[in-house]
Amino acid sequence: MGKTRKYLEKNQAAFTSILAVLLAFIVVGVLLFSTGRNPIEAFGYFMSGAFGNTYNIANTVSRVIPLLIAAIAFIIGAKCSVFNVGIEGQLLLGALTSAVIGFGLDLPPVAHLPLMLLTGALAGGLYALIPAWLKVYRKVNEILSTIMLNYPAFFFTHYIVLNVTPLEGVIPATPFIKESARFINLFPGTRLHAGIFVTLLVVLFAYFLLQKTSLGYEMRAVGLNKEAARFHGIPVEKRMMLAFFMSGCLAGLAGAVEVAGVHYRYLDQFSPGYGYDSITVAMVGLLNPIGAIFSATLFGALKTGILDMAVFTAIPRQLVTLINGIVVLFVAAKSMIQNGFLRVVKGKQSDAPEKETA
Amino acid sequence: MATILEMRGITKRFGDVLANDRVNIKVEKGTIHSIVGENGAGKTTLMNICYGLYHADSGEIFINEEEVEIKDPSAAIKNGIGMIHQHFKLIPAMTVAENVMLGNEPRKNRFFLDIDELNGQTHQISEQYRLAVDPESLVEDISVGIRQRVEILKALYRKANLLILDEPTALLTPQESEDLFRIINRLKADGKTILFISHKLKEIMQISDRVTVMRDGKVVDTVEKKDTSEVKLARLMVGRDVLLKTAPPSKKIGEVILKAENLSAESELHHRQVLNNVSFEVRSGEVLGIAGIDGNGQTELVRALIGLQKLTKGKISLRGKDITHLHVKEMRDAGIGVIPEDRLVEGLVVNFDVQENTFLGLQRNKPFSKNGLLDWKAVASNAEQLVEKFDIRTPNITHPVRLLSGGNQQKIIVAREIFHAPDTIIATQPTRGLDIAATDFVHDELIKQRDLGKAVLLLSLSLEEIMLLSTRIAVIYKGEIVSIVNKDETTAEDLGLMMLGGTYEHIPA
Repeated sequence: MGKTRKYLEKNQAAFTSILAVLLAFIVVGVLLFSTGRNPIEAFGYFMSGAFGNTYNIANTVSRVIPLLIAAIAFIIGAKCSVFNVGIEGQLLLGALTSAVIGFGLDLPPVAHLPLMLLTGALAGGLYALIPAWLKVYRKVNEILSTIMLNYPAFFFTHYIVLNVTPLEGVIPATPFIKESARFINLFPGTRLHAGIFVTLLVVLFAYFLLQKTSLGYEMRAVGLNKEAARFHGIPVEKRMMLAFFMSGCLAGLAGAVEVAGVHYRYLDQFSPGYGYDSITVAMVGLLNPIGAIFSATLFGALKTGILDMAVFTAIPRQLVTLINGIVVLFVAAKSMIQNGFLRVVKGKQSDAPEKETA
Repeated sequence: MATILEMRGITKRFGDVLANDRVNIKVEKGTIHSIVGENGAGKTTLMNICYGLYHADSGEIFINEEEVEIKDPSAAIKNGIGMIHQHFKLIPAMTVAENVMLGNEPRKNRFFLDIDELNGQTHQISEQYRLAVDPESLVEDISVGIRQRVEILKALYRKANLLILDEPTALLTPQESEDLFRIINRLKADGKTILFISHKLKEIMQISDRVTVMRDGKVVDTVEKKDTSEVKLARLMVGRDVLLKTAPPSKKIGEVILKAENLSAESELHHRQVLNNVSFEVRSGEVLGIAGIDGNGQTELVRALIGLQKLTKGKISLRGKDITHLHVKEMRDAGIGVIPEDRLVEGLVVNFDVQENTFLGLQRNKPFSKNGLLDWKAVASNAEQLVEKFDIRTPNITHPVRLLSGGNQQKIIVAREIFHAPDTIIATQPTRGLDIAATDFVHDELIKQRDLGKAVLLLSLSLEEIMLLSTRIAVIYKGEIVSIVNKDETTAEDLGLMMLGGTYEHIPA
């Protein structure tokens, strides 16, 4: 068989992901066309809105930051068989905690910002220990428990902002954090801040942990086959607790970075669902830290690109929700797309998608 | 004689693998026709096509000399074909009769199950073929051998004239196999046709009228039983001369390496006694075989020996050192290597690639890990060595293990555990589902390790394997070691009886 064919087959997962995204765009294009709009023109505005000039690129990247950190949070869990759907709640608690440290303490910048990020991460991590313990030692399905635990986090932060921390002005928010606790802005006039470097560190950390350490190897083994892991002396329960904790920490960190780099305070309901979007980002990125960079960029671009499109073409901004939904749909139907993809690549259908080769 | 089934020019391709290549087979009515071949020779694929589970890419099927199209199993049943799969398809919580009638239940007043009719009909078929099955017992309460008869009952109830039995003796004791053969002969006497799939040559020679040999997806030959022999069949199957072998006896038996004293354990769920005062020792240079029927405590024993099963009492020592309370990892590091019962569940992470699997359990040991960091270069060079030394057929060491054949998967486990185990190897069902070549390989490796002075503990459901490899044999029954004997002082029949607790009664001939 041809070299290209082998290459395509070997990287089928990646191509399937790309295909899912392309299909989503095509479907949206057809929808636009059928309602009398010009999809090509719309796409043009979308691209220029997201990447058209350095200003737009900077804004897109600033959107990527929370998505990417939160996606890594999901990936670290998922690789170890922990499906943390509670990232949203952990992120809110992380953000609030870090904001309190940010406005409540007076410290030199070298200590203040790191301390703030650390406490934010810790808040998320500790909150994640609840579903972690329930899952590992009480066999409670973590998908359900984490979804449910998003609500207490949401209402708790809401309550604290309205009733406990001092209110300044009419917007429900904490006071502004001190200058010493802020990320510097990298591109005046945009929201791009130095948190991008923390984000890249997080990606590198995840990659390094999973691929280069014994611990990461053990976590991946647990994720793929608990019985084999246990049989070979890997402490399955401990690894899952740890993965859950790390996942929660990164979720909390994502919230803290938003506070330190964008809002400079905890703004009630500031998250447009980063925690939920991060799951899509992680999935489209094939649960691969490097893959997540690309998918987070795509979803970040969706958020900024849509704005220009809405301004210039009278297409409502809510289209972004639609695109998101359709991408999710196609990613969920991945095995279907994958089968189709393989059929085209191999040029033949078969009843057994996988058969022993040797 | 009339032909009941003929398959002509059957070709079936899975991806790049040609599973059946222009296969022709003709089965005469009222005969016992065997199909032999190694794993992957295409026997099961062919039978699945015949039963409508797969569709041939090309070729024709004739039943009673009329061409038919078998779209699905229900079409096969309509054509009088019944298949007894290797893994039974029964519902444990239902009675025998309910299982037999499932999907075809007799009814009263259209809506109500006619239980008397249900039990009566089942009883009648069971009597007719002297299957000795009680229609009202629950499937979960009956033994493997009887479950198999229930499957046969099911096929008979659906008026099957041609019964396909896929590796029917794989899970049976010698006694149970004998019973099965008696039943098969009775079915034949009654005019039924049997298609018997197996790779055990001894039983093929015992039971068949004709034998079709398959190799690499092709029919090599079809011969009359009276014109052939085990050796001839083996040669046809493998394509070269095969020595029907016996392992050389232990050379030098040394000091005690692994010692178990009064191990007792309870099941987690119901606190049922699963191990009861199990004691034995394995010496350097010997293989201790543990024979027993599935579910008599073998799984728990292995788990206890590697620290996964809590003991209520007892002591395990390795070279005189007490290792009873060590953690799994420490036990393994102390020198115990394990070839687990189920390679896909316990032995491998199938979604890892070859090299990742070659150091599973060693991920914190030198040279693979230093200060918690993996040394992928060391991993790769070790993996390359093992692939070379153990002849693991894989395109490269980053090939996913799930895409390898069962034999090559098993070789990875054997390679890793042997490499890792300085003292003791516990081999559980080490050749389950492997073909002749791979089985030979694993057996040779175990004997080699024995002769290097390691202690080998072998647990197998195959008495043949136990007899072949063991120096001494212990029989486990209901969590107890009933007896430990020297291999030379016992017979398969005696062992079979002990495996059944000495209380087995044959069904009447």
